[in-house]
Amino acid sequence: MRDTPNDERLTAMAGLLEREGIAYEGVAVAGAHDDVAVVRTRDVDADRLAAIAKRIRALGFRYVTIDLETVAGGAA
Amino acid sequence: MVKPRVTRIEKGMSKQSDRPVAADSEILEQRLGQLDGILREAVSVCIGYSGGVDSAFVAAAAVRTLGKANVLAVTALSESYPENQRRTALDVAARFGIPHIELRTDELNDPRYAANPTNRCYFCKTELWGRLVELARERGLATVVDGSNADDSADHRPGALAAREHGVRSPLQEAGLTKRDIREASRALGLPTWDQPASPCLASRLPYGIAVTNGRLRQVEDAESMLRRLGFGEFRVRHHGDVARIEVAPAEIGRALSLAETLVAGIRALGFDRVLLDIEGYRRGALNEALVLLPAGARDA
Repeated sequence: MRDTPNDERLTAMAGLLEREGIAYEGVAVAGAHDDVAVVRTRDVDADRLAAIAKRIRALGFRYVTIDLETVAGGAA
Repeated sequence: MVKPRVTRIEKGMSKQSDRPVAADSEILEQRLGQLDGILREAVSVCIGYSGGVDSAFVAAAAVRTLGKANVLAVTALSESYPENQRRTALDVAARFGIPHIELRTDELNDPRYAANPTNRCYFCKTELWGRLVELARERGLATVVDGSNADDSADHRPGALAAREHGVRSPLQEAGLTKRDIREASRALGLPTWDQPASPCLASRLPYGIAVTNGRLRQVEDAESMLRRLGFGEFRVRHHGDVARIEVAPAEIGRALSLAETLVAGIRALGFDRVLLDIEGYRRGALNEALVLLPAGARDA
């Protein structure tokens, strides 16, 4: 599920998604600077995710993204 | 005269609609009049010309005001300059009778540039303006100018320092012309660039600190070419090392999701391990957002 040692940020992000009732399969941190939040989901509600993007960034990320490979149904 | 006939200002016409705008056509006419005066004062101009919205407009305006004999538009070709932009530059120059030449620049061989610090643009522009000042002197052109506009002063632009150091003037900025003004006036002149998305160099897709290499620039250019072929309007592919982060206009996020399989296959084939879609969409200067986390002294050239 995660590819970064920063468990705290990931746990907080997962908690936020759950509290908002947004379905996800996993969360991760990406990017050379570990500043990209990744939400893995096949069932994307883009508007709702965009609405909480600022709160996700406040957890210590610069960018909030969706993993397109998960959307496409491939192996994440 | 520079003045094209301006018939209206449309709300939301500019893709940079969060920027200062001309309140009405009278103000725009006034600003265009100021531009005319600034160009006349310049006597003859050597223009840093990328073929983007701003430099295309200042070049076309200069030809109208000063005549072809007093204008030279110069495009710097390098690894960070997109090929599709070059085609636009050539097309506009040919159609609008803008005297135009190309010259090679070599910013990638400057380790200060290639290391991609926050003032990367300063090193690129130092080479560019140095070459253009020399060229202008050889050709007997009185003034070197760029296409900076009135909105640009709000951005992080270390390249502007290099311009100032070389005595480069910014007629659009001096006249108070905003991006929206320039789009409207470009449309009135018939310039095909009037609604062209902003087009900074390819290195702007790499976060500061990620080394600028020819390989990475080609990955970005090829990935963006793919998005263009798929019909996306305004977009960026940001290079985060092994990850490609796609920004498209918010209205096109749904379509990008529907094309997920195509995007993943195409962009992974370019050498990226992961393909991500930014949920907030395209934002001008998105990589500059990181600068708020840096101490002020580290931000400026």
